[in-house]
Amino acid sequence: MIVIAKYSFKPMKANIFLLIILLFTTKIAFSQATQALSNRIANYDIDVSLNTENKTLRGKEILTWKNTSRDTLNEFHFHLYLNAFKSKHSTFMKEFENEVTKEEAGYIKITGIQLGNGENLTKNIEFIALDDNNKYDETVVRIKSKTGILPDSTIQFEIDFTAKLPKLSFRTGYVQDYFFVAQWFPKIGVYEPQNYQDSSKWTWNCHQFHAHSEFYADFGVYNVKITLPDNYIVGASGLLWDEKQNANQTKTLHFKANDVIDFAWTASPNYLVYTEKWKDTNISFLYQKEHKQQINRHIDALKSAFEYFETNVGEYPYPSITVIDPPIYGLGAGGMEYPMLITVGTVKFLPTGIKMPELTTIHEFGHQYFMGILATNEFEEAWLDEGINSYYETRIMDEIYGYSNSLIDFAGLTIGDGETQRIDYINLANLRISPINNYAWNFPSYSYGTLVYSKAATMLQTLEGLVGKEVMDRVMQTYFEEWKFKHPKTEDFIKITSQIIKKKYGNDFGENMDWFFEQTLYGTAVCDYSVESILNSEVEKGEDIESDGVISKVRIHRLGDMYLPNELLIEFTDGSKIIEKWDGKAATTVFTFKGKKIKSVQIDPENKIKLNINFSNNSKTLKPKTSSFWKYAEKIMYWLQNIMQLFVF
Amino acid sequence: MKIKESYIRGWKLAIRTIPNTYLLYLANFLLALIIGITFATSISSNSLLYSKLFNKFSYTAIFEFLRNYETLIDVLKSQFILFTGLYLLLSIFFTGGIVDSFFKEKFNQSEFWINSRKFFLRYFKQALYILIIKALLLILLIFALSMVVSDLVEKESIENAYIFPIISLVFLYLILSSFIYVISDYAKFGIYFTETDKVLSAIWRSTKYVFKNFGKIYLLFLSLMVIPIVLIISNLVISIKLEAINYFTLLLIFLLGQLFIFARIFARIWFLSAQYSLFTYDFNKKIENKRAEFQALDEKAEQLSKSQFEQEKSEIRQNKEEKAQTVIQGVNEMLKNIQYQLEEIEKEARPEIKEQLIEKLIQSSESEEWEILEEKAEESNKQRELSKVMSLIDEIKLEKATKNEKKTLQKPKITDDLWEFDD
Repeated sequence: MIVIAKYSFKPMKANIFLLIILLFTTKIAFSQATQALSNRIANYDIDVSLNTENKTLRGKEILTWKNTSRDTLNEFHFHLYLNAFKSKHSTFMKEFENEVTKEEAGYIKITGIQLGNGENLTKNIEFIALDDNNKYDETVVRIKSKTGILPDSTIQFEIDFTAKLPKLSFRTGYVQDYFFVAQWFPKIGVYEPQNYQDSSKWTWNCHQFHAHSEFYADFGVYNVKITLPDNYIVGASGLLWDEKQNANQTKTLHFKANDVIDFAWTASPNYLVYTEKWKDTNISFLYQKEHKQQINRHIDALKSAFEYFETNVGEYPYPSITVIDPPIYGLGAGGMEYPMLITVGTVKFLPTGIKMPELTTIHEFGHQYFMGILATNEFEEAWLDEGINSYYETRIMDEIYGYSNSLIDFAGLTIGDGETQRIDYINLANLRISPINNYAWNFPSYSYGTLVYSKAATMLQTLEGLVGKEVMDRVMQTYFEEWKFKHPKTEDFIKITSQIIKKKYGNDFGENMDWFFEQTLYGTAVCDYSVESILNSEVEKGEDIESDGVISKVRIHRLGDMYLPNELLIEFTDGSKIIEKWDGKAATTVFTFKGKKIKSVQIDPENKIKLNINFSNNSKTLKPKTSSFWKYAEKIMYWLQNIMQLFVF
Repeated sequence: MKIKESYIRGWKLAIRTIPNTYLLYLANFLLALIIGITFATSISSNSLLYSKLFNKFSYTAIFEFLRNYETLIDVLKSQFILFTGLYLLLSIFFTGGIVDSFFKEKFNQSEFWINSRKFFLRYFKQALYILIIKALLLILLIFALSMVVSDLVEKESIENAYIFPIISLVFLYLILSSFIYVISDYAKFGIYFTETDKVLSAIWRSTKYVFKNFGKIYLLFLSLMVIPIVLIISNLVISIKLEAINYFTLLLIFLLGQLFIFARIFARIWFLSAQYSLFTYDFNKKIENKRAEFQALDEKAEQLSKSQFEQEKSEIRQNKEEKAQTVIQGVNEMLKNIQYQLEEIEKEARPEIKEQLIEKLIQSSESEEWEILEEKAEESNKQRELSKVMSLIDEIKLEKATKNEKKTLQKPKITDDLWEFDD
């Protein structure tokens, strides 16, 4: 069972007995499933107390860390994420171009650190900023040890820390009595091979906290005990293992999460709890009183996501998921993902036709797979996390709610989620501003979201268009099975993609799919094909034609520098249609037909190539219809007349 | 009662002055038509993508269109801003003519244009002031909203606690906006009647006037608001149900849309005419009373000049001729003289000379000679004859006074009491 920190709240009054049974049975199930799913390198036992008055944390952390390298290590890198909120000079705040007042600031301080062998490392703490050399950034520390750790052995760190939570504006912090506590404890970096090709040299991968980067960490077991006033209701990663009432009107909640890369929690006296099950997984929805009417919107979307991911990607391995609905003033923490805990976001009276709660629920749940289980490096290869997840978000949204209205279906306006990803990409002022595969902090001026989420999703939609949904599912299933509870890289994904496609299509798409990813992922090439001309000529009997008749020609131009295999639908004046395929490489391609006059042609008639930046030049007809323009002329006139009348004196 | 009467009278007035609606609609339609035609005829696309748009909305197709026709959209945007401004100016220009047509209770084209031109600058100034006031109110709302929300974030934990203050603020803003709307309308009537150049003062007087008579004015406003609300709702219901699937349905949608726009414009004129009716309700009553008074005076004067005078004159001649011969002679001479003068007045076509003759007659009746005549008449018992003469003079005086009074009816020059209602 989960997150039920206080059993006396209203919706659960009648179900206390049921909850206790649920808690008990879940514990049994959990203990039965404690065989390690991951390598459990970084394991945390944290005892933390929340001072709700001062908005501070005081914690004791015991980190048991396994050295899986062949190196003897005397230097350890830790994240101190909360220091991103210390001042406007931190790298995080500079990248967000945000100011921080003294009252709003947050920080974390290691007050003491020693190894299990007794070596005190407190004086060896040194701030480093390897990404940008920002001397004011204190989000990463290097701690040196004389004794160190040998290869294939385990070391224990005992860390005392205090933290002040920032006023909530990004992901973590407090507002009034609402607390969202994420990226809150000293967290060790990942010690791994320096690059993909060469595994002989290892190094710490521990980046500063950037505006657009969140996770990269080793799997482990988290035992977290949280002490706070007893009127608070808590939601957290993992399962509620134990609850203890203290003498001073506080309580201590013990949460346990196995095989996860992070741990986040939230507390507020105003949460209401709704519980549900999907197969054996416990669902807890911590919601605001005023959002009671929207419980089903979130739960239904979540169940659809469960169903879709289990059918098309792989099994959800955790015993629970907690969904947090933040209050309106805490929306800064909305739309975030943590292992076994996601945050959504809605407002009262949100029309059902605006499916933002559904989208957020599905998207954030998807991160349980892409980041949570397939623990990619979001600092360096964010597309593997956000891009693939956005691709699945659009697939699920479009499948459940309809392609053209999955995001908005309100007051006559319909917008599909899949459409928005492509449009976000093609709307970029500079389509070549950066490749998708870039370090998160290196994306120029606000292009991160568009490239990492939207273009990456559009790229995968295009790949799906080329190879088919079935093959795409096979790719993702294989990728999931091979890399779950590991740290896959882009190269791993490409390798699997190439293997699966080759298995299905042979060399139809080439030896491998590098040509595709070089253009779309590593490069900044742009895809644009256009129908240049249609020509129907009456000809007399000659070399080209046996008797008098018609020769018709279609000229296709490749306007962009990206080439992709393509299809051409030709409709003749007699009503017949044919589809021609070509590799899309040539700058100009001419198709010639004899005996029939062409009425219209359409490149990529099913719009499979979503990366194509201009669909309107994909087709041409010799009998254009102007009815649409008159329809919109009428609409424009009508609305203009109304607006003008609004300004009448 | 006044509200109901104003409502109905407003309707009648709007119907009676329907060319006002035609004129505004025509301006509205023509300006929009230019943009509509610019749009439809500037596109020459052979793409199949856009033809999909006829049957159903496509976000992708719309987006691609906007992107590919960016220049055209920019032109349309500029045209739109320009035409909206132009329509506002036209509506300001028409205001003088519209209010005048309400006063005349009929639409006269030449007078419409004369009054439109005559009041344009005044109404233009008024529009500027109202625009500034509205902008200030909006800034105030934004400021108040940000203050309230930032305060609530610190204190309130339930979303409902946000909804009430925000809705209250927006509601308050709408109420204040409606006040400005109403004040602006009544100021238009004030400016028309007083022909003042002091527009700010007119707005201020209108403000005082509106608040002094708040109940009936706002009740009328609210009852009038029902019209556009009903129009908008019915139009929404129809437009949701009706989708263009062929040219016929497109034409039907177009016609229905135009009908709605026409109804909106008519509703605005009705709005204005109903408020005008309320504004002039008491004032009209005063005018009607005056009219009745003048009519009574006219009738009295007629009676005097035709029956009484003729009858009494014959009595004098028949019964008391000898006795009063001397005095009568004198009196007759006087009468002849007066008669002559009256004939002269009657003959005179030039109004200024006529005026002078009348003035002379009146002056002579007030001279010393008349006093001596009066004494003699008393001695010789000729008061009756004298009084007859005096009646004749009084008749002329009355006639003159009546003419002067009638002049004021052409267009009442209104002073401060215009802004008073007789409650």
